Amino acid sequence: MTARAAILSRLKAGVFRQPVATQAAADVPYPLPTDNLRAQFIERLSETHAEVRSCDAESMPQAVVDWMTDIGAQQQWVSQTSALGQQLWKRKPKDAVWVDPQAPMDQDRAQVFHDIGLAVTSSHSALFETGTIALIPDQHEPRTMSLVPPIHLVVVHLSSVVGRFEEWIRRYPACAEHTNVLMITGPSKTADIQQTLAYGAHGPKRLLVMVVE
Amino acid sequence: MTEATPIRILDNPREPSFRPAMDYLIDKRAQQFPDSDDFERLRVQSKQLKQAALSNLPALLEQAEAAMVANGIQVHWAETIEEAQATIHQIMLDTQATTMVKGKSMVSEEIYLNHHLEAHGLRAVETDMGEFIVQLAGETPSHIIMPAIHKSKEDIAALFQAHLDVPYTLDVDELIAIGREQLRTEFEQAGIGLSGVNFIAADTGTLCLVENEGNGRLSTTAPDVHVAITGIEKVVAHLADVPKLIRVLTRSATGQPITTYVNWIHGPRKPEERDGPRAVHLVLLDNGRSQLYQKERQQESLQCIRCGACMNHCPVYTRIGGHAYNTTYPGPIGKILSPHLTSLPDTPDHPKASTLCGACHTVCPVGIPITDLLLDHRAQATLPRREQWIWRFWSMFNRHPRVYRMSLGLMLRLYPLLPKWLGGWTRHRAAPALSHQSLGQKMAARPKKGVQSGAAS
Amino acid sequence: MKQTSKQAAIPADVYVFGTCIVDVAFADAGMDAIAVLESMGIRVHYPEQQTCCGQPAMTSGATEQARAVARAQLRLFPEPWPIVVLSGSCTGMFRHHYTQLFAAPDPDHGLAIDVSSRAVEWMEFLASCPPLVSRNATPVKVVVHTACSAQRETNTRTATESVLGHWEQVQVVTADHATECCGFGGTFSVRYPDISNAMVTDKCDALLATQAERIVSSDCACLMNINGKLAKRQDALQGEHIATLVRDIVLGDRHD
Ligand code: SF4
Repeated sequence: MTARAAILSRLKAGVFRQPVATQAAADVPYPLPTDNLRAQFIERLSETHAEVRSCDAESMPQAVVDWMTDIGAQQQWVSQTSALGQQLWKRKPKDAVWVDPQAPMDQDRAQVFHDIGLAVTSSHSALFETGTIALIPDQHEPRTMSLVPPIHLVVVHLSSVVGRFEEWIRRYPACAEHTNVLMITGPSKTADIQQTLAYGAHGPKRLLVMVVE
Repeated sequence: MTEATPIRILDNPREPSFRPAMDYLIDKRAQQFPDSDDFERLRVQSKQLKQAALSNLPALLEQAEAAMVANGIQVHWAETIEEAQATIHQIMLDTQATTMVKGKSMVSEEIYLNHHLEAHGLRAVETDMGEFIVQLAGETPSHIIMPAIHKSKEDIAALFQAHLDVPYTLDVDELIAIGREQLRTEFEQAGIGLSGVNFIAADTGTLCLVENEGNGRLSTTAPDVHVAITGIEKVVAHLADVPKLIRVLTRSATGQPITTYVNWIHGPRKPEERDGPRAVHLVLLDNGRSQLYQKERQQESLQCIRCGACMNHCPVYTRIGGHAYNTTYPGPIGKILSPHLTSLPDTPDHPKASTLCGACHTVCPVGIPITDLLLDHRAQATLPRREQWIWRFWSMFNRHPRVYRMSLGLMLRLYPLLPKWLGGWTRHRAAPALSHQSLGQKMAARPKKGVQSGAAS
Repeated sequence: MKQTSKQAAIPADVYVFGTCIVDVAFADAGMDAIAVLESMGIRVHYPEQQTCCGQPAMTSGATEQARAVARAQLRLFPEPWPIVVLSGSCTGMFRHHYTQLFAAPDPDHGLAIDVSSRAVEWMEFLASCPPLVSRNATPVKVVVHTACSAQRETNTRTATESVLGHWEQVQVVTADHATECCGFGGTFSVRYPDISNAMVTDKCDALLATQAERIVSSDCACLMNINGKLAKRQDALQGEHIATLVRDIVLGDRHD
């Protein structure tokens, strides 16, 4: 008998207690704040140790480029094919070194891991409650972008903010069709050394969020 | 696996205790559950979700497998830890990788994967900071969430200095930066990555991973092959159940409303994608779980979502730390789980090394009645002959009020409960002071007025 | 005694279940508890045949012996009166474990349900009655230790707060890690004497650090453990059954 058959047959021979249904199982609704969502969302993001700027839709591409210039990382990853990337490339400052991420893990990994100082990506949506940003990486913005460079700048549209995780999954069941879905809350961190919080364990040390109204 | 001697829990409190570390985790959790009614509601919800999934486990496993296979994930089943080791070893040989980067996975600890691979000339590199530290020290995790919680900053500074050829520093940011640099080189080169899984959604075939550092993402993104390993009990019915369980998992574990990363994996990269593993494997481990599933009461321990809150709140764990348990899973959950893992020899002490204080039970986010299960273990176990006699003797006294009342002196009546055979008691305490006259005697001696001292009025 | 209207009426009769440790080691406290009940005009019935609730055997895995002893207790309370238990964890045993110990189809299942529904810990009982008037205004600073099982299985903790909170002269202070176990755990303290010692040492330190004048508890097993440690270290204080404190407050100074 295969391991699979043996395991399943033992499980089928068992009976696991049925849950006792009670009222408690119902979800509590979590409406978004109706007044000044922007300010409140920015506050939530800041609590996660993200750095936040905001702008309106019209000024967005330039505001992002300005922020990138302020950071001044030598090499920056900007997708040449994503909708966001295309808008940014049009505004690329002359002396900035921008690189399209290509196939990041199939090229010179040393460069990927050590030379890229910042990556810019768009986002899919966000969760108000926890200041979380949802990303669905694809061929235009591969997942390495939000993972390997020490700084990740992500653009979030206020209109995409959902109350909390439970609602998000109800609203976007199609997320299961993507290879990889990511929820990001603040920069990479660890408290593994004597419960002392340190940022930039393995992922980005800084998370910059541009909130677009 | 051999007919090894039983595994014991050592009566060895550490000085200083783990109190500051545990208090830190206890406080952080408490801040996330300010309202006890709210916690109770979430706890009932999570328990119901886990019980609903478990009560349909075989069908959900088949459903999950079908969904994963459709998504391109290769699913392997392992009844024993040896089968799991061999499966992963073979995947590694097929990949022609010599180094494996590992995200945090307690199930990989359960199957002694690092040891197995090393014995076959392959490297396994732990990349979670805590696991990395523990591996450098040649140890195993002492906590399921905070593997290096038994190590001080000074220990780690000395360890890094000795093994990594870096200057001694007590600056935690610097220490973390050292670990980051060290492990980046490993991520650059590794051909295979391993991770655990927090939840598998049966309807979508999703592997869900939560973590803070990003090493889990790196281990599942940078190498060409990703192997995930988990226990068969991790399946839940719907992807929509996962956020509800994460809500209690991360709050209970580290007092975070959510971890930095919640990673959902649905398969290997698609042809048009530019990164991600080209192959994804999942190893489903049994190692006694399916036998446990057949046990009417004990089966509830399969509800566990491995948050670690029970150990954080355990006064025994706080005094002895995780290594004293001598099993992969320490603390209260370890006590009720370890006796069922077929890879382990007997763990007869595990259910006994508890005061039954119930602190674990009170915080468990999926409502596992840990104290009741410990009691059940004790009731199922055969008592040593000497103890059987003591309890028979005790029962004789207490079933016969006449014997009880007339027994010579109070000491005799208290005998089964007290010192003498209880050895260590008086090493640390004065013997109890007994009353000159028992309450029963005092009541019997009272003049009978309005007050009565009989069973019947 | 002044009574406010909404308080539950005081029953005319109650049973008292002393528990084995009170019987043997805290007999005076048992008498104090009974004296307080009688001062409320209650007729106290103390079944002479009582011994032990069975908990020590049950928690040690000697289920059969626990059941045999528990069965002997079941028949001691024929009248429908409350069964006032002088120890918190024993109340928990009555309330939560008897129905499991005598699960259907056990012939005593119905009896066990009845007994468990009437079991009430002494402080819970006082809290359910109109507040007691104090005859002793001497200020006193008190720290309370509540047994773990009593915290989970009874309302002893809140009942104690409400009863003691009623008297202005009583200042209740909270110890560090107040809800943590004292390390007794029955046979645990024997199997793991050093771990148990580490726990009881911390417990004693925390209780003493409050600078309270009296350490009280409704649980005699914990008291035996804590007092054993305090005595061994020759600390000045000893823990007392809470009934002794309440008696001193309600009935005034002892002149015997
Ligand atoms: S038993 Fe409960 S508290 Fe302990 S790790 Fe599992 S889920 Fe968490």
